[in-house]
Order: sequence, then C-alpha cells, then structure tokens
Amino acid sequence: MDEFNDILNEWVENRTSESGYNIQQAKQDDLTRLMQLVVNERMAPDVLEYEEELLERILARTRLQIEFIEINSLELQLEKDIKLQLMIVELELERVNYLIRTYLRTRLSKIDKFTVYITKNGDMVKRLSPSEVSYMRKHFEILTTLYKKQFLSRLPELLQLLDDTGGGISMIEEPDLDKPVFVKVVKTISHSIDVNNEEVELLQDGIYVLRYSAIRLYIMIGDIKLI
Amino acid sequence: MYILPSNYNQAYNHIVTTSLTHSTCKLVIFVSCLDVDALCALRILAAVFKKKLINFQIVPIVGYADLATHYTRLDADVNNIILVGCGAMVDLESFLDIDVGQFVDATRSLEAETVLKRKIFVIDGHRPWNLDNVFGSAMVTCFDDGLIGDLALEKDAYNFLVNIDDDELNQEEEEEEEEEEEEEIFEIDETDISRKRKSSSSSPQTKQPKTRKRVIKDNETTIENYYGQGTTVVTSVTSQVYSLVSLIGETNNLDNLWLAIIGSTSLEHQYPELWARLADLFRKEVRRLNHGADEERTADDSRLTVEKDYNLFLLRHWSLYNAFYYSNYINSKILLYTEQGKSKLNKIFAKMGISLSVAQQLWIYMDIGIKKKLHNIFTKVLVNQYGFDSLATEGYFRSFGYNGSVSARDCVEAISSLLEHEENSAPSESDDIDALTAEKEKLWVANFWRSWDALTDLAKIRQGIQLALFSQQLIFQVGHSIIEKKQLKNLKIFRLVVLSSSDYHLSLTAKNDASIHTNTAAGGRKFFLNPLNLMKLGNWLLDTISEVDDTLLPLVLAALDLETDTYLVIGMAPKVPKRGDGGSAALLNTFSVAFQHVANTTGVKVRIDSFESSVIEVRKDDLAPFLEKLTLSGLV
Amino acid sequence: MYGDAADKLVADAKRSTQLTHLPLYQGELIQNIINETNDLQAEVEHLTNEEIVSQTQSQGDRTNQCQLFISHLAMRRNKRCLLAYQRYRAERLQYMSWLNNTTGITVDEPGAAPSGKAADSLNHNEEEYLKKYNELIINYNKEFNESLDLTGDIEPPKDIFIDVRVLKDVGEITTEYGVFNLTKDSQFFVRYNDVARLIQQGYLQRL
Repeated sequence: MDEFNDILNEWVENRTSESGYNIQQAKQDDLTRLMQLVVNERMAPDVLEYEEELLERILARTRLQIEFIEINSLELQLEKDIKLQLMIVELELERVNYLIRTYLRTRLSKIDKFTVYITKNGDMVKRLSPSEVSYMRKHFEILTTLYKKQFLSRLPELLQLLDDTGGGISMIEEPDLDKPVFVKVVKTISHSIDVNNEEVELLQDGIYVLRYSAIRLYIMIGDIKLI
Repeated sequence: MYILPSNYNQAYNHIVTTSLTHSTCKLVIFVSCLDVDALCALRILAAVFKKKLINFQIVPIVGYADLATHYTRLDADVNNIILVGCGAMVDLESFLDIDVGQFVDATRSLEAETVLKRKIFVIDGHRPWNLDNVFGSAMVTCFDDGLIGDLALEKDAYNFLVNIDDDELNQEEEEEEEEEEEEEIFEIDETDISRKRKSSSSSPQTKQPKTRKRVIKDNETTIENYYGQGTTVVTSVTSQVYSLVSLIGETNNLDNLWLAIIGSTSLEHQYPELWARLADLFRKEVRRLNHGADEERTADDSRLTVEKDYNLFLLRHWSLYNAFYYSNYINSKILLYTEQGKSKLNKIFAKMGISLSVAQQLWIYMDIGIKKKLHNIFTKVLVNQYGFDSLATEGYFRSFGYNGSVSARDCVEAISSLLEHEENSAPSESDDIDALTAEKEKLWVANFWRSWDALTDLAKIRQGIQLALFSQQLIFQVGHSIIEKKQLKNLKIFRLVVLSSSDYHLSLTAKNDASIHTNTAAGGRKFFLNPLNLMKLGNWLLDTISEVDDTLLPLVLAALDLETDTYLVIGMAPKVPKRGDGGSAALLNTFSVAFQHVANTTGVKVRIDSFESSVIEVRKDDLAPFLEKLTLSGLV
Repeated sequence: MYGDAADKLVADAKRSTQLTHLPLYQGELIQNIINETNDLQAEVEHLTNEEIVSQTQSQGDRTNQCQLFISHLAMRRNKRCLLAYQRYRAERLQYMSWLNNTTGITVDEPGAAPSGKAADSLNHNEEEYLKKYNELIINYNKEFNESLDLTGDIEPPKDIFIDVRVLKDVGEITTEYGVFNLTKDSQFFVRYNDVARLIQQGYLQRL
C-alpha cells in the first residue's frame, strides 16, 4: 500500500503545476474526510448534513482523473511504462467512486425511509442537497400515485391519508434517535455528559457505545466520530 | 516459420507489445479441450499474461472444424492467436483460408521484410510438422522443440519444390506418373487435413533433362516419406511453456513447475521415453526450487518433493490390494484376468508378509509400520523375486498444508477423469447426427472448464480421483471380458476390438469396497465414446498384450454409438514391454496416414476432425469395408 | 373474521422476501380487502348514526361502542396491511431498478432463462412505477460524473481485471468500451468495468 501511495504521490506531483506540500495534504485530507462521512452516514440513524463543497471538489478531481486515463490509454502502444501508472490511477478512482456512491446511496435510502417525516420537518430538509430534495419529492409523488391507483382511492375517505395518526399508531416513520452507536472520541469533552441520569465522562481516544441522541451535537462539530 | 527454444522469449515479447489495449481483446488462445497437457500449459500461459495485465480470450475447441468456425468469427482487431496442443500437423494458412496480404502492415513494412498485423503461434507436440507451417509461412510461428534442425533434408526438399512451382507454372503439363494433387472431398463436411500433402501440381517438363525430373521426384519422395512415417508426440507442451516462462524470468514459481510436471506426466503412459527425458530436467528444477525449504509442515505449506513412487494405480487413495489389482503394470505382468493370475496375486501378498485383510484396508488407515517397510518389501519380493523391474519409480508430490499431499500421477488421473466423465448422461432427444455430435462436444468443453477449475482446487482433484477409480475399474472389467471372450481379433496386420454395445455397467464385486460411489455408474452408458477413455482401454490392452505376445502389432478399437449409428475408431501403435531402464523406442502411429488414405480411396463416410489424427468416426455400415480396405492397404 | 384476508396478504409479502422473483400481484385478494374495509366503513357509519340517535350510555350500547371501536381498528389494520404489501413490492422494484433491471424480470441464476411467469407478475401500475422510478434514477445520475454510475452492486471494488466465462453465444457485442466476441464457453480476462453491465445482464459469469 505504501508503494502505491508513493507512486501516486510522485505522479501527482509531476502533474500538478501548483507546487507545495499543502495542496497534497489538502487532497489527502479531503479523502479522509469523505471516508469519515461515509461511515457517519451509514451509522447514524438520521440524515446528516450534505457536504456540498467537499463533494464538488472531489468530483472535479475525479473528472480530471478520467480525462487523464482516456488520453493516455490511446497512446498505450507507444509507452509501456505508463500501464502500471494507469492501473494505479484507475484503482484509486474506483475506490473514490465507491466511497461517493456509498455516501449518496445511503443518504437516498434514508430519505426514502423517512420521507413523510422529513417533509414535515423543515430542519431536516435543509440538510439535503437540492437534487436530493427534488428526488424526494418526485419519488413521493410516484409512490403515492401507485398507492392511490392500486387501492387507496377505493378505500373510505377517512383512511386515504398517508400521514394518518389515528388508531394509536402513527404512520409517519421517524428516525430513531435513541439508537445506540459506537463512537470514538477525538477530543476530550470538557464536561461529562448526562445519559439517562447517569454521568459519563468522554475521554480522548476512548471507544464508547452510547445513544445517538446524547452525542449528536458533538458528532456534528467533529469532536466525536462514529465507527 | 519457427523459433528455437532459446528464442521463445522473443515471441513472448512480440505478443505482449502488440496485445496491449485499453479494452477489447487482441489476443485469442485456442486450446485443444481433450488434452491434459494442453490444459496445464494454458494455465501457465494465462497466469503469465494476467501478470502483464493483457486482455485475452480463451476458446477451447474440440477439433479442426471447430477451430475453423471460431477463426472465421474472429474480429479484425485480433493481433495474436496462439494455438495450444493443436495446429502443428495442418497447413494453417490454407486450412483457415488466410489471405496473408490482408494483414500486411503497409506502414511498417520495409522492402525486404513485410510486417504482418496478425500472427499465429503454434505450441504443439504432435509430429510430423506440417512443413508449410514450419518453412513456408510468414504468419505462422511454430515453437520448435529443438528437432527442426534435424529436418535439413526435408527443408531443402521443401524449398526446392516450392521454388519450382514458380518457375514452371507456365510450362506445359505432361502426363506423368508423378503424384497429382488429390483434392479430398468428403461426403459430410469435413476437414481438409490432407492438403498438407500438396505437391506441385504442375509436372516438370519432359523437355528437361532426366536428371531434373529425377531430382524433383527425389524431393517429393523425401517429403512423402516424412509425412508417411506416422504420428507421434515428441514433447510436452507444458514443458515448452515452462521453458518460455523461465526465459522471461519467472524462475522460482512452484505452481508453474507443478503444472509442468502434471502436463508432462500425462504423456507418460503412451510415450515413456519422452517422460524419462523430461523427468531429468524436472528433478533438477525441483531440487533447485526446494533449496532452503524447512522441514516443518505448516498450514500454508505447498512444497514440491521428489519421492519414491510405485507403478500402482492411485495407491494412496484406496487400498493396497486394489492398487495392485487395478494397476496396468501388475495386471500385464501376472495376467490378472485369469484365475491363476488372481491366485498369483494372493501369493505375492503372502510372500510380502502382508495379510490380505491388511492389504484391503484403505491406505490412510493402514499400519504405519508396514507403510515404512513397504519399499524394502517391494524391492525384496517384487523386484528381485518376480522381476517387476519397473515397479518403483520416482514421483512428484505436492503438499497442501495440512490438507494432505497428492502425487503428479494421481493428479493426471484425476484431471483426465474430469475431462472424460459425463455429468448427466440423459439420452438426448434429437435424431440428427450433427445435433448429437454438437451436444457431445459441448459437454467436452464444459468438462474442460471443470478440469481447469480443478487445477487449483484440491477438493475437485479428490472428486476427480474418485471418478478415476471408477473409470479404471470399468476399463478393467471391460478389458477382462474382451480377453476372456476372445473379442480381441488378430488380423495379422493389426489387432482389432469392436465394442458393439455402448452400455457398460460396473458390476461391483466383493473386492470393490465402499469407496466408490455407485451413482457414478451412470457414466457407463457413453463411456467409451470419449476418445480418451477408449485410448485408456487401448493402453490397457496393449500393456497386457505386450507381456504375453512378442509380435508387435498395432491395435484398432471401435466403439459403437447407438444414437448416431457411428463407430468411434482409434488406432494405436504397439508397445514394447516396459523394461527396468525405462527406455523403449516409441513406435510411430501410422494410422493417421492409413486412415486418410483409406478414406480417400474408398469413399466411405468418415469424419476426421480430432486433433489426434488417429481418431476418426465411421458410419456403422461402413465399418466392415473400411477395416477391410485398411488391412489391404498395407499402410499399417 | 376481519383481517383474515389482510393476514394472507402480509404472509404473501413475507414469503416473497425469500424468493428471487416477485410473485404475482394479488389483485383479487386486495379487492376483497378493499370491499371488507368499505363494508366496515358502512357499518361504522351505521353504528355512529345509531349512537347519535340513541344517546344512551347503558350497558347494552357497550356492544355498539365495542363494535365501533373494533371496526375502526380493523379498517386501519387493513389499510396498514395493504400499504405494507404495496410498499414491500415497491421497494423490491426500486431495488431492481438500482440493479439496472428495467424489465422487472428476475432470474434465479445467472444465465438461466427468465421464467415466463415472472414477467407478468407485475400489475400494470407497478410497471408504470418501475418505469418512472427508473427515469428518476437516471435523472439523478445525470447530476454527477459519467464514470460515477450510482447504480449496480454496492460492493467494494476488488480487482481491476477479472476472469469471466461466457454463458451465452451471442456473437459480437459492441459496448462503449470495445467489441467483445462472445462465444459460449470461452473465457476472458478483461477489465471489470468493461464487462460489469454484461455480467448484470447475465451474459457473463464472474469467476
């Protein structure tokens, strides 16, 4: 793995006209952050904030990579050495694509699950990207059309709502914010937090299993991360 | 053209540089699918190309007709074609209808040397070479085994004849007794293998001095003799590929060596002296690669060792008694198909001091003390008292961590059983010969992939071994009944066996213990319609005969397929009895020439498609006249 | 009993979690449930009218109230079952869409012929839904790079190049990556990306 990174770095340095270690580091940080985002999104019960800028940056870079691959693959016959470089670039591209794909699809699946709740809840809508919002609306539309056509329209009027709360059972599915999650502490929290009337102290690098609701805010800031 | 063994890497480099592409395949490999040797060689080649990240396609084929069909389907982008285990004996350029001009790369050709966009490489051990491939074609590159240098005489003759073709094309044709080019036309759509015999169509001038005519005739005779000497296999394809990979630097790969050994061992039965030659090389390689390996067995251990092995059938996989009983070698030495033979076997065990009950235990449960003493017992009793010289040989063993170890010979048996064995032999509904043959061939291809997978999977090899046990028993049973019922006819020029029922079931006797799964008995139905199985039976019969009868007569076997009403006929060269030194000259198989000739001259319906040209199919009604003509032809 | 039909419906949905293909849409059963619910509604209305009319809270009317209560619950239960059933099927369709299966036909094994019955197991509304959902995905995909195809299996990438075996004899196939000559039972060593679609469509089998 190290060798790959070395070759990759070398190649990137040759390619980019901007000098300086900072750019390299920034790109690496972006990827680390993306990985953390993916983990967070998968572990958290509700939909987290959509990191638009980060994604835009990464997507732009992948576009460049694709161009690079296309330009060079045509010249394959002439220069043999480039085959290995090309391989490594492709591998990395696959990995990054995989991360992005997982991120987006996890979000979509959560959106699908909690559609009614989200639409009623202005806060959560803000966390979605514009395309996600339009996806949600459209999907909801076709789903309700399906329901209506299949049977809903033939049922008595009282029952035709999809956000029915009568009869003791709510139809709106809410994300379970009390779900327990595994976390690791990045920065020690100054004061101990209160969980169910018990005080828990969160030390750096400690691994805990806690209710999501208790540490939600800290995750948003980044002091605690999900694992 | 041809390349020497020391130059194999050049071919490899060429292939690698011209096959690089970002997508699609520019390299296609055709492989003969009924050949263990070709299978192993292909595996090594595939691994090598994978390392270089080259896209390629593997197409297993059953015969020359299949090759032609697939070839025409190839797309224009394909730059390199490799034929493994086939192609040496057929003039590829004319057979595949190749227009060489189509492939000339005009931009890169120079005055003296034309560069071709597409090349065909042939790695095949079958001989005789088709001289057009070796000397006459720029597109076909043959992998020489070192013996092409000996063909100087033939080379001159060939060049001479090719040249006069140009000179005297415009001359008048005279009636001569020279051979004319025979255009073989078969009834059913067949391969045109005999075009290799193309001699110049135009006859030389009578105006020319007699010496010229004489010279031409001499050259033609040289060529004819070359082709007429009979077919054989002189090298294992796997060993050629192994040399190739050693040349390009992969010298420490145990897997490759193991595959090379398996591939070469598969030729041991029929071509013992070839194996003896290669065994030397392999022994050295194993010693070299095992240098420094530690003694402890670990879970990831995959060592390759050379140890004592015996000419007993799958010794370690069932009981000692069975291994003796079903071994070709023992059987031929003591004539196990007779009652005396059987009692002799019991006496042998008594002399060895091994009780029958111990001998009939499964090998893995057998007393370790006896196992350790076995070699000594064998030497004392069998070699010295009975004269079984070739009983003890050396074998190559591969261990797979804690899962046990397996010998190369066992692997060969396992893999060839996997190639031969039909999974579901349900009777097919079609009546049409072509459809039935196509089905059969599809099955062979499927078996090919099954065996491919087995090469790396110990569990599958074990399955194969079980199948092999079954096959061997069946062959023995059939062989015994052939000899008892005197179905082996001696026709003075050759011996003949006709298997008229394709229905063979293994009858389990008391000796066969529960290690055989009886649900594989279904394999009996079409068992002998697979050329490999028929050849095994032939081998068995030849071994037996060679001990009993001194006359060296070749053997012809015919097996009837009730569904298509055809006979599968194979011809095999006789065998010289095994001697202690392991040497015996391989007798050449002259049947390929003979079969061709008879087929041409009599017009009987035959189908010659297989890569082994001594395997043909004849219509049921035509068998008798065919055999008659064969006897009379004098070519056997 | 009330709710029996709904039980059957839910059982069907539960059973189809184990199957690779979606079973037939239970149109008749659903109609029964709807009828039952409407009947219940009629009864509820009738009972409510009676309540209003009689205005007595004596014991006798407890049965009425009970019945009212149960009818309400039964109706809601029916509604939930219907929705659960439909939603499960809709989710299966979504799943299919993400796997680029736009026809709604699923097969049990790669390379097997799709069984005829699977093809018409979708109600035509469901087919509509599938089509529209597919469009939705395509539109969403457009927002991102071309190489980032959001559809397909979500498995972490392992190898760039893989071995595949050809299952069907279809001759030459031209994909955007090049031409492949698919002869049955031949084996290819190619880039995974180039053949991913072909694997999904059942032409190739990954080794």
